[in-house]
Amino acid sequence: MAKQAVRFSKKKRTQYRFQKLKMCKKCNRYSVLNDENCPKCASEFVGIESLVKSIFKNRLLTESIWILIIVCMGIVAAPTVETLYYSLIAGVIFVISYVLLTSIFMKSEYFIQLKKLLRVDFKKIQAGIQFDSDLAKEDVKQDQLAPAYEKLREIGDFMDNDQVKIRRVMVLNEIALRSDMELELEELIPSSYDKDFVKYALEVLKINRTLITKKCIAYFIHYRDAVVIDFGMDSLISVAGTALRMKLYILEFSGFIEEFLDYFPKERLLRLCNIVHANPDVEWGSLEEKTKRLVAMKYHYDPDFKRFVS
Amino acid sequence: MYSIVFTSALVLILIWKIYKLFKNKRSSGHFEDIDDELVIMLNEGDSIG
Ligand SMILES: [Zn+2]
Repeated sequence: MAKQAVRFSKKKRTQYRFQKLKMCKKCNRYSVLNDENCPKCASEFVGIESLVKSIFKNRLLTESIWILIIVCMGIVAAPTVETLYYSLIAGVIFVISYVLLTSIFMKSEYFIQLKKLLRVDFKKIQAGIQFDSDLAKEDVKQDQLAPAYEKLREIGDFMDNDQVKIRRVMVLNEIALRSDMELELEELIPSSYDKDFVKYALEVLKINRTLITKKCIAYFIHYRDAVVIDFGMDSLISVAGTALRMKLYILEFSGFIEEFLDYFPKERLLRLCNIVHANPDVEWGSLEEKTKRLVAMKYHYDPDFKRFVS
Repeated sequence: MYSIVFTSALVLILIWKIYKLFKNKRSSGHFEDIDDELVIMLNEGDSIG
């Protein structure tokens, strides 16, 4: 089946994750998606921060009403005119101190209110994310892969489980990936072997090697037998080839690289020689020896390798 | 006498308020912690997928 050509919208970034939470007040439902309006009732979502602020404001309003009642009662109950004036002045000083104190401690009060709201509404948030997840499922069913992926990407910020990761990977495997796409790989590594993930990772490797990180290479090494069964030896050779991207990776995975040295294309081997040659102080172990031997055997006539052949 | 009672009442309310504010200040932390707590809560015994 031909892969779908799609364009993802840019991922919205916030300083904190919780800032992505929003609520439809009409449906009383949370969401983590990018939509501005509730897909169910079309009313506008309210961000969690505005929600906390409005709760905070309501609390202050209730408090101030109580304070006013107390001060007014004090003034009304004053037995003499003198005490009445005294109560009035005391009341005003009291109100000013109350307001000042509250504003000084605004930040911690806001923090506590936010924490409280998240704890109290935790079940609701969970249900909201489940609803978002169902929307993504619906998108997949209707072959709307870009919106489905965008939804799963947002959900993935909150749900760190294999199920969500694999669903994202499965959608990505149906899409024609391009190097200008904002792709993720390390974030999608599942906790056990998954064929879909490996398929996706090998696709990513072709278009953007920089996404193949240490954790990803370690995953391939850990599940190498299964990878070879499903995708053949060439896939491991390509992964070992990407490990030549950085000096640090070469040192970390020298054993793995050494295994596939004979199978590397010339360009990869040249890169390895360059790095080894440029860092004579580094302890490369048997990798250096084996590389030298291979170059002497296979490329001694090649002018590109001339400076490495002694 | 009345002034003393009224003033004491107001001062008591203020002290109680200050106590609450300081208590909240002590138990407040970083927003990163809220983020972590939220993710941990959501992923504990999760069924969303
Ligand atoms: Zn709604």
